[in-house]
Amino acid sequence: MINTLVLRPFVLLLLASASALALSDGPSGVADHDRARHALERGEVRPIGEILRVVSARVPGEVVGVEFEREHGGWRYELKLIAPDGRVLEVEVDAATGRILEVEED
Amino acid sequence: MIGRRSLRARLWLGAAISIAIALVVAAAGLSRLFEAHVERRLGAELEVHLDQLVATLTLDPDGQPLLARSLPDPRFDVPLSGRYWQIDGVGTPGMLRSRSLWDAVIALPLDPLPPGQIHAHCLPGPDDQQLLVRERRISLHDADGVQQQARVAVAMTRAELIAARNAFTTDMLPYLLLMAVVLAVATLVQVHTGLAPLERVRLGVEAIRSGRAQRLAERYPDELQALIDELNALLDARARSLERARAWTADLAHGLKTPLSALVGDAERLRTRGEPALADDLEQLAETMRRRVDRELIRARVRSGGGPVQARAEVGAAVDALLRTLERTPVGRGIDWQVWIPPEVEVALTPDDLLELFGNLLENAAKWARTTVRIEVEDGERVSILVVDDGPGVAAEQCSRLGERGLRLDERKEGAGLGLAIVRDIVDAYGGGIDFECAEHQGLMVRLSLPKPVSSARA
Repeated sequence: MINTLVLRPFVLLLLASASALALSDGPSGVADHDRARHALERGEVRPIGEILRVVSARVPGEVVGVEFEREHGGWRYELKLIAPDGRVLEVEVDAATGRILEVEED
Repeated sequence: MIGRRSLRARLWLGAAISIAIALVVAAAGLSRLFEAHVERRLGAELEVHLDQLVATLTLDPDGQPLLARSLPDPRFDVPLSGRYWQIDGVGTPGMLRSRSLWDAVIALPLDPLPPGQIHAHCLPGPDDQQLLVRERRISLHDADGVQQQARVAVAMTRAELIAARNAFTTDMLPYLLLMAVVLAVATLVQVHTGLAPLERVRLGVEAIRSGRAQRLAERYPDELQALIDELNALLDARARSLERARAWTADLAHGLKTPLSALVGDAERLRTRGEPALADDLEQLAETMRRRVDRELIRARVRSGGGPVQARAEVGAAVDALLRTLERTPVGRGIDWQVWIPPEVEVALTPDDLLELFGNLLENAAKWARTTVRIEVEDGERVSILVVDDGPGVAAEQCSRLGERGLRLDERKEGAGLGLAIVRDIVDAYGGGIDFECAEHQGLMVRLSLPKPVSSARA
């Protein structure tokens, strides 16, 4: 997991700008990682390490973006990753079970 | 096991083990040093981040800690990226965290930190990562002047450190192999030079066995000197006992000679008393015994006791020395000596016996030759020697009697009739062969075959 997260500089720059948005994101003004922490503490979701392992086992690729949203009464991870063939994929995962809900090309 | 059969193998085994140990220790030590060095560098980097984090930390109007802006390193924002920061309030761990920590909180140990000191920790982090942590305690004042305590920590995963160390070890491997090769070459040289004196000992012993030396050279390395001294003492002892045996045989032979002379005198007296048949018998017996005694005297010189020193003499040198002498005598002067001897032909005779053999042979040839004496030596399994004169030769029917003691086929020439007899005795004593080719008016051809010294195959 760690290896896929050692990212190239330009990717990191993209992520930095994306996460700057994410910091100010959220309905209650709470940052996404704090929401994730609280959800985990309440036992509503699986830890992100587990989620990423499940995804990398099913959809190989380099994870370049993580979003955490509440949808249909549950938590969803929306992971953006670059497949080995270069396609950029968006994977939607049920944060409570780790089940992959949808894989779509961006 | 292996070392018992070969010193070389023993030395190589020792060298291989020590080289392997040295290289493993070097590899482990250098990796360890490198890891410590990288850890220091990363720690310094973490402290820079720590300072930066403290600089951006303020209190909001409610007295809650707040980052004025996010840290510039994007890795703090990527979940599980390996770079993290966290600010703990009093009783509220993880009050502020980097986005990279995502759903995890670093459990900072509850050690009381004096303000102003930076603490280093090694703590478990998110997703089972091991973290290098730098932490310090600060206090901030809010708008109302109330002091707020906070613990500020910056961390990174040890995986980075491990990866750097592993990369270093991989890079180091070719150099370690190179060092192994250099050490192996050094060992090769060391083993070779270290064992060289043993080869010298072998050559020395071989020289003794083949008769080219009497003892081993005096100077050897200290470790071998005791062995060499013992060996020389042994050789000396053998030489002495050999000498004793020779002297004893010689005494015996000389002791028999006087009674034999007396016996010949008695035979003479018998003849004058009218017992010629008995006298002839006695004379014949005395002659047989004397020849036997002479032969044993030569044998005693040659190989009494089968001593370690083998006789060897060079044919060319002996003939040269004899011819120089003969050409100055009335007999040898004016003879055309045609000599054909390949260089370095050796026979297994003592130099003295070889000189005596050739002396008699050449003197006899010179005595009868008119103008020319031909000497041919051929090296083969045995050394064959041909001496041909162009004298009157010997009648075929007398040929078989040549070499008998006292036989003088031509009374006109002076001599005791001993020359060819001595030649035959010496040849017999050394196990050689002698052969005469007789034809009247064609000169005499003497053909000898003599044993060669046991040549050392590798000398």
